[in-house]
Amino acid sequence: MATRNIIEVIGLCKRFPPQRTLKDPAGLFRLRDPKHVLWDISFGIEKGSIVGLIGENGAGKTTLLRILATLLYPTSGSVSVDGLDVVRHDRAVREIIGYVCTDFGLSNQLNALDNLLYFGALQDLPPSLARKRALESLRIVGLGDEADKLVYRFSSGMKQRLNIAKGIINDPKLILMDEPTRGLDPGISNDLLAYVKEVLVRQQGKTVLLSTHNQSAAQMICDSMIVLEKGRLKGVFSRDQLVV
Amino acid sequence: MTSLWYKTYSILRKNLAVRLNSPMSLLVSLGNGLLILFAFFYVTRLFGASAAPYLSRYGGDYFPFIIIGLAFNQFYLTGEQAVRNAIYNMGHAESVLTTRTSLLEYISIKTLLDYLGQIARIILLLLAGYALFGMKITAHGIAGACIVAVLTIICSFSYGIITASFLLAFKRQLPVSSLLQRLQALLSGVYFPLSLLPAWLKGASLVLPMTYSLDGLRMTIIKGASLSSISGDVFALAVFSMIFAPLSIVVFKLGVWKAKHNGTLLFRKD
Repeated sequence: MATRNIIEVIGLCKRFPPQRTLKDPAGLFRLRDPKHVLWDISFGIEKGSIVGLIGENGAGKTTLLRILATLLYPTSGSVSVDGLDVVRHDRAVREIIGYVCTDFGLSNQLNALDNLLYFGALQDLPPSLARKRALESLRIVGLGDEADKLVYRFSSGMKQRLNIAKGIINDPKLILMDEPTRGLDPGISNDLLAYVKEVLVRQQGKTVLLSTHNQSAAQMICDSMIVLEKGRLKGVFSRDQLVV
Repeated sequence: MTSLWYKTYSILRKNLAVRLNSPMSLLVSLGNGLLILFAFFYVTRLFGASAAPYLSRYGGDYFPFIIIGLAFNQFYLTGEQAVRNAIYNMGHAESVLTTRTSLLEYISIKTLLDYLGQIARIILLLLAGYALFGMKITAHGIAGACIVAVLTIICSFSYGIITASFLLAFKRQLPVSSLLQRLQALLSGVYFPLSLLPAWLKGASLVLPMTYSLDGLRMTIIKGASLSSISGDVFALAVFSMIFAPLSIVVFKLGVWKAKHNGTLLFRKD
């Protein structure tokens, strides 16, 4: 039977080995404990839902997203996206995810459309499809009229929307968003999140997992919330179960 | 295949947009080349005749000898520098690493484009030396020079990938990297002919691919040597390529594996 969950995380642990640096010669030979970032995390996320990943700074949100995005390997446990293991099938996983990260990776010297065409090419889209998807993505995020505008003229809110357009250019089933409202005014961030829910989730049927430490904003739009505390899973809550 | 060309074109277009945004850096680069030509033209005049016996294999003139040596030494460093730069900049490119383009493919395209830029600079330097300073070069050995250049790219790119793997896995450049670069330049004959080296050091120069690259390029560009007369250099470079290219891929995969475990994949230059 096909699973309804697009993300399955079972017993995930992640620890980083101690960093030995030449800046601290004595440290090169000192035995230090590895840094545990995630401990025994298990959860599942249903297709077509929008889920918040909540926690303070250092809770492990970005590490979890990076594991899902195949940028990091888990130390133990299993993580799968749409039934594909993120370690064994990393390329196949990258084909079905869109990653909206905190570093935009946009070129100020290019216009919005050319920035998206660049990422379309990296997503292996043929030129005509890349253009079609780029224009469609710009329209979805409300930048349809700004395609020819150089990115250095964009406001931070427009850049963030372009960043989202970049994350959906490959028409992903799952969109991972790392702090998508960071640096935005509360009004703009609320509008952006409402837009994500209405257009990407409700209209396009995509699944969104977004990390934020703004619990109230997440509570407003998310179907459920995964709460992390110092690398441990505090629980998966419905929007009504969480008290701001 | 279409996707590879389109990807290469897109990366080139982005690079050009960034580069053309600062045209001054292009002018500075051209100015540097002219200053090098100017300086070594007069250095050659200073002791040109006394150097001739040691340079008889390459026509006896130090000017084209040193210019080709310096130009292709830089060419050799391109592999390591371009790969390193691609990785340094990746700290801001999580979005690139989560696309369908593999890390090796992305780095290879970026580095190949850097090599093309380097080739254009070398051609300009040689033409300027020929036109402005009467440098003795010929186009008769162009086919041999192209073959040596391609094999040189394979060797230096493979070396770049191996050092990059170290950078990915340990978040630190190979500590002896710059020392190795200078040692290689010294032993492979960038600045002076290898006949001047003591016998015990000549053996070390034989295990460096750059020794064969420089000999093949000087023979073809200065003397117009045919492919058959540089077959020894071509053979040696082909052997180095066959060893280094697959080795670099294996080492790189290990480096990426370790980087994904250690969290050092998203490298940020300190």
